[in-house]
Amino acid sequence: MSVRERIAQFGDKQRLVGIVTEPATPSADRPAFLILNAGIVHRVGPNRLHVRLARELAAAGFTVLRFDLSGLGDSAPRDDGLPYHQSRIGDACDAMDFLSETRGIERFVACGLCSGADHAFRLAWHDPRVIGAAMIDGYAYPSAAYRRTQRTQRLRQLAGRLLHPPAWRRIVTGQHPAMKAFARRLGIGAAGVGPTAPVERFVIDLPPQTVATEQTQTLAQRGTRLLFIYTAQLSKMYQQSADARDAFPPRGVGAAVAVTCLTGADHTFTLRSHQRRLFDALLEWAQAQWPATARHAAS
Amino acid sequence: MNPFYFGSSAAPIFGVLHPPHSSSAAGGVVLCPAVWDEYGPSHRPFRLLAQRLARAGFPVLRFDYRGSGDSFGDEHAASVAQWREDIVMAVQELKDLGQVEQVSLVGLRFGATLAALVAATDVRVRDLVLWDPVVRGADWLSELRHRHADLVMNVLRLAPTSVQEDGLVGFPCAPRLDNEVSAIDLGAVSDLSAERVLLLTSEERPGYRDLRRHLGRLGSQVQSQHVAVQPIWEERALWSNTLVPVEVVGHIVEWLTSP
Repeated sequence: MSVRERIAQFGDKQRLVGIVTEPATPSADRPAFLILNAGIVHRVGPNRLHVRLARELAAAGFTVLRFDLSGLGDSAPRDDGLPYHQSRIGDACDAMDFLSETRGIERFVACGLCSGADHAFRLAWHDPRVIGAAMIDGYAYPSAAYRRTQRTQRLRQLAGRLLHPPAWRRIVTGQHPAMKAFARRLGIGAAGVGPTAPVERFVIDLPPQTVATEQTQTLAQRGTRLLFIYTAQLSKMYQQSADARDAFPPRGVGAAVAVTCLTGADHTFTLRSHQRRLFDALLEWAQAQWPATARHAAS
Repeated sequence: MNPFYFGSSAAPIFGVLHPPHSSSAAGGVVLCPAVWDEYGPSHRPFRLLAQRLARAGFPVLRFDYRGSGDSFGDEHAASVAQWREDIVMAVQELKDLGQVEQVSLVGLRFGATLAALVAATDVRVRDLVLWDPVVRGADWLSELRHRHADLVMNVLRLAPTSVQEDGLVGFPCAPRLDNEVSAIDLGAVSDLSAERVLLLTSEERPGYRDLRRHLGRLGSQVQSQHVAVQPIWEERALWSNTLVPVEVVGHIVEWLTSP
């Protein structure tokens, strides 16, 4: 199926910028996908994932809008002072309004990686027009088994280091990272600014597990379709949740919640074979939830 | 800021025109982005640079090469010749839209390398800014291969995979493109149409000293400036608090507006 793309500018003062990717014969019967920013990466996505995913989904018959949330990529910042999460939801609602007005689409699937997954979940919780959410490396909580494994690993590493003479030499001479960090805390040595300054990681705002669990269960009861995809790092947490009580996503909520672990893949899907596995997982899920009717298939 | 498509209808190029806030500056500026995994982190600094240059009176065009970013085109068909053609098309587009006769090029990493090649043989440009350029394509590919192998073997702990199967740092790199990039050496450029050249470096790399000397011999007025900031094209810059090197952006604007 051929695919076409158009630039979209929408929201208050046309401040949001995105690209609509759609089949040659779009249909308002199937939900449209909204692809949300991953961290501060603009709408193209890490390793151009969002562009390729949008084109694959459109080739399968779905309309897709990948756009920059306010203040990211080419979208202007908001000037209404809304708190962070509310502003993200407000932007996504503007995107849905835009697709409703221009294409008559009333149902949506939110999709995102990392902070995009966080926004997708919150959007599904907030707006009933969102009937599905695909979240890549979104919410994950360490289970008791996972914590035990981590503790054992750390103890093994520590024991290994204590028996390693060069580590002692670095500690004595102050070259060991732990000693450098200690010296910085005491105000000794380099202040840690400039090109070698420590990097502050971008992390998502994780709600308490009880809240995320309750909301997942409620969404599932509401019929919202949820797909949790985990790459190598986070799938470990999921797989070690042998006890259903500390598992996330919660078990026993029926077919509305699906989990796919792409073990081996890194957070930004650097390898092309991992990108392919991601696209296949998303396409399979989307086609199963919202299959093409005979009319769509014919077009 | 006006996003639009230009170029052929078969594979339109995505561009963003930043109209000038006044008509005080001479000519326009085309921004040539980095490629592959160095492209994403350069988007934000380029947007700020475009805004600042537009405020200083330049019409500015930033764009994505065919097969990259928001542009159409087959990413497997990328070639050095095609990337250079895209810069030439962007220059012509800015001349038409911005109604300017002279255009300057600002390139980052391999975008700077391409800009220099374009200024050497394809079009006459006013000023040329080379921001942390790739001097020798073969060295750069070797760095990328090393980074890719490190991720595969040390981070993901997987067996080495082929470029054909898994690409290079997230993107396809056909043998033909590999050969084209490997053959590039800015030290071998024999002519530059630019009146002035700014070599801007944020980290000292092998080859920059020789490149400075070489550019100086080509007849253009060359200025070299070192601004020590975290390399913004690295992926980790995207996840860090070093989002935009404002000193570098400020220096480029100041240099382009200086007589």
